[in-house]
Amino acid sequence: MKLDIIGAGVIGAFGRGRERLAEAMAGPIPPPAAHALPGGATLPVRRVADAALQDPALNPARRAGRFIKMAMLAAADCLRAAALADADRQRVGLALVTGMGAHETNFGFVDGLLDFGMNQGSPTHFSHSVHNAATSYIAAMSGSHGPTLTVTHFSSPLHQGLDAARLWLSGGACDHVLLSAVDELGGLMLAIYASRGMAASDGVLRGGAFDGPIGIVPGEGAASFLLTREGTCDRRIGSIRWDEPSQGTPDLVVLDHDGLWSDGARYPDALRDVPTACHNGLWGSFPCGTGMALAAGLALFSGARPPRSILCHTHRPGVPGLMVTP
Amino acid sequence: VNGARRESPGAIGSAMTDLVAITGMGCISAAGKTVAANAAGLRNPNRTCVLSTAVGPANPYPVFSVADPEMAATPDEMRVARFAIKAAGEALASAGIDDPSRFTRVGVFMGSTTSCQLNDIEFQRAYRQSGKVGPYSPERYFSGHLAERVARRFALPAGPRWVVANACASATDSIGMAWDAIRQGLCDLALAGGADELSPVSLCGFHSLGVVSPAPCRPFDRDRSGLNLGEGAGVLVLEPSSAAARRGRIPAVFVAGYGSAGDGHHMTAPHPDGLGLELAIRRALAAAGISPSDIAFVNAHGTATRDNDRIEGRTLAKIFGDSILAVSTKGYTGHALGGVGGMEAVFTAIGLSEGWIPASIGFENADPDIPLRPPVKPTPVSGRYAISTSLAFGGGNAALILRRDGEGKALQ
Repeated sequence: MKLDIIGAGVIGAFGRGRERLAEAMAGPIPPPAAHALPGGATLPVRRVADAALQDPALNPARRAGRFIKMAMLAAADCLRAAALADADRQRVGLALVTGMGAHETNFGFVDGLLDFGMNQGSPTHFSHSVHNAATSYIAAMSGSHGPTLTVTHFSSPLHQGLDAARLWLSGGACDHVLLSAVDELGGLMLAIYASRGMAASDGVLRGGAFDGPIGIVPGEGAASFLLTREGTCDRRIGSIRWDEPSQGTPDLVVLDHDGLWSDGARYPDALRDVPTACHNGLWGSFPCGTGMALAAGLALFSGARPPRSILCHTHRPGVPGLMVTP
Repeated sequence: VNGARRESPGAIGSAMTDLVAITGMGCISAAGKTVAANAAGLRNPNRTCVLSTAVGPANPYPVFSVADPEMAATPDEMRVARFAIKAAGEALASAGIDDPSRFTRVGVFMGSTTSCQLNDIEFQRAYRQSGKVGPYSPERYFSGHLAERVARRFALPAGPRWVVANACASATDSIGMAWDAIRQGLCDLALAGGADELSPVSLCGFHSLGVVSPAPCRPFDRDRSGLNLGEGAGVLVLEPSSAAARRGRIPAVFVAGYGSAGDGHHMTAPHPDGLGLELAIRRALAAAGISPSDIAFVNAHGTATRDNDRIEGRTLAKIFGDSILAVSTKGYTGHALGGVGGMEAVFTAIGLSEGWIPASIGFENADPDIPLRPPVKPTPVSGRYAISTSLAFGGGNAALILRRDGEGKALQ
C-alpha cells in the first residue's frame, strides 16, 4: 500500500523547518558541537540549538524536556503545512516512534531521588519521562481524539510507525496519521555511548562511504509526517511505499547511514551504480534518523531539478528501503 | 462527540472476514504463575500483596510481586524480559506451536514501560560518584527490547517487532494492533500482550503523584485511596481462525474489536467527561459490529485512584447502563502498568469462556459518584462478548472486545 504525505515538519542540529533543512543540504556540513564528559574528555554531537526550542507554541509544555519540545515543534510545523480542517484534525491518528524516549527526563527524575531522597521525586519529571508524554502534548495541541500509539525500537522505529499508519489508514481507523519520529541527546546516554567507543574520534560522520568505517556522531531531532491514503488529497508533497521487495530503480538513493548499524562495506553492489546522496552528517546518529533521511528526500522534490523517485535506503538490519515519489 | 466526525461502524472490520482467534495464552502475575494458576487465584479472596519500602521506611506500600526466583534479573536479562518470555512460552505451548518456523511472518507486539527505560538507581548512583559507566545495565537495556527478545528466544520468523509504550494502556493497544495486523495480513501469527516489573523508580514516581495507596487497593469503592503496583506478563497467541482450523485447533475465544482514542486533555488527569474512553469503547463496538447491550461484562481498568475510577465508572455506566457487570482485577494483581492489559485480556477470555467473573476484590461500599456496583463474589456471566478497558497516563484510552464461540468451555 502506498501512502501520500501531505505535510512534514523537521527539527535537528541544522535548525528547524524543511526550508532550513534544504539550505543545510546544499551547503557544507559544519563541525559538530563538543559535549564535555566527566574527566575532561569530549564527544562530538549534533545537538538541536536551545534557541530553536523557543516558540510560543511550546508555552503549554514549558515544564517539558527537549524530547517533548522537539516532537511538538515538528508536529506543529507538519500540521500547519498540511492545513487540515478542524474536523479532520479531531480524527487524526497520532503515532510516535522513538528509540529511547525522553531518557534525559527519566534520568533527571532518578537524579532527584538521589539528591533529595526516594520520597522526594519530582512529579513533573516522572509524568514527563514516560514515552507517550509527547503524544499527549501533541494530542492536546492538535485537538486530536484519534487513535494514539507510541512505539519503541532501537534500529527501525520509523518503519514500525509506518506500519501502524498503514494499518490505521487501510482499516479505516482514521483518515490521517501524524507520524513523528523523535530522539534526544542526554548526558548519561552520551557517557554510555562514550564507554562503548561509539563515537567518531575525529567528529566526522562519513555517511555514504562505501568502504571503511563510517564513524558515529550522536545526534537528536524530530521529523513529523502527515500521512493519508493514496489519491485522497491533492496537496501531497510525496508518496511513499516500503513493502515491496522489488521497487524499481530510483533516480537517486538517499542513504540513511549513520554508523549505528554497519559500515559501507555491506552496501549492496546495486547501490554502487546509482547516484547517491547522504546527509546524516547534518543531524548525526540516532535511532529515528531514518525520519530525517525521509524529510531530506522530500526536500529534494522542491529543488530546481527534482528527481522522479528516491529510495531512502537504510542500513538498519532487516529494514526495507522507502521508495518516495513526488 | 464534541463535533468530531461520526464514526463509521464496521469500517475497521472490512479487511478480512476471517475471525482473529486466540489460540494460546500465557500469564504470570501475583495471582499465579500460569493461566490456570491465575484462574484459581482469581477465586481466592485472600490478598497476596507484600509491603515495599522502596520509597522509604516512612512510606511502606503494598505491592503485588511475583515470588519466583526464576524470574530474577540476571546480568544480561531484565526481570521484565523474563516475565515476557515466560508468558510467551506458555502461550505458544498452549497454542500447540512447537515449531514457529512453519509460519511465514510472526509479529511480536508487547506493551511495556519499565523495559523501555534504563531505570537503574544503583547504576546511576555509581555513575554520579565515579563518572564511569558500569558494565551491565546499558547492555541489558540495549539488548532488552521485549519484542526482539521474545522473537529471538523462540526463533520466530521475521515480522513486526513492536514495543508499545502507551503507559498503562500499552498491552491493550498491543493486542489491538496485533489484531489489526493479522486481519490486514501484516503477519500470519502474532504474540501480543505486555510485561512489566516492579521498579522502585515507578513506585517513587507514583508516590510523587500522590496516587499510591498505603493499603490494599479498593477499586471503585467509596473509600478507595489509590493504586498498588504489580508486575508480570500476559500474552496471547493470535491467528486467523481458518489457519487455526487448518492445524487442528478449535479456538474458544476471538478478538472481535478494538478501539483507541486520545483525551487530548492533560498529562496525568483523565478527561473529566471520559471523552477519550467513550470514543475508544464506541470504536471497539463499531469494529466488532455489536451494540453495548451485547456486552456481558467489562474487565475495567479500575486502578482505585480517585479520578480514574470516577471517570471510568461514569463512562461505563453511560455507555452500558448502571447495571453492567464491571470488575477490576487490580486487587489480585496490582497495577502492572504496561503489562496489565495483557493479563486482563487473559482474564477476560477466561471469564467469557468459563462463564464467570471474579469478585472485584476490595470493593465494599458504593461510591455515590459512581453508578457501578462491581460484584463482591465470583459471579456467573452469560453472553458472547466482553470488553477490557485501559486508561493511560497522558490520556490514551484503549478498549478490546473479545468474543466467545459456542457455549464456552474451560480454556486450560
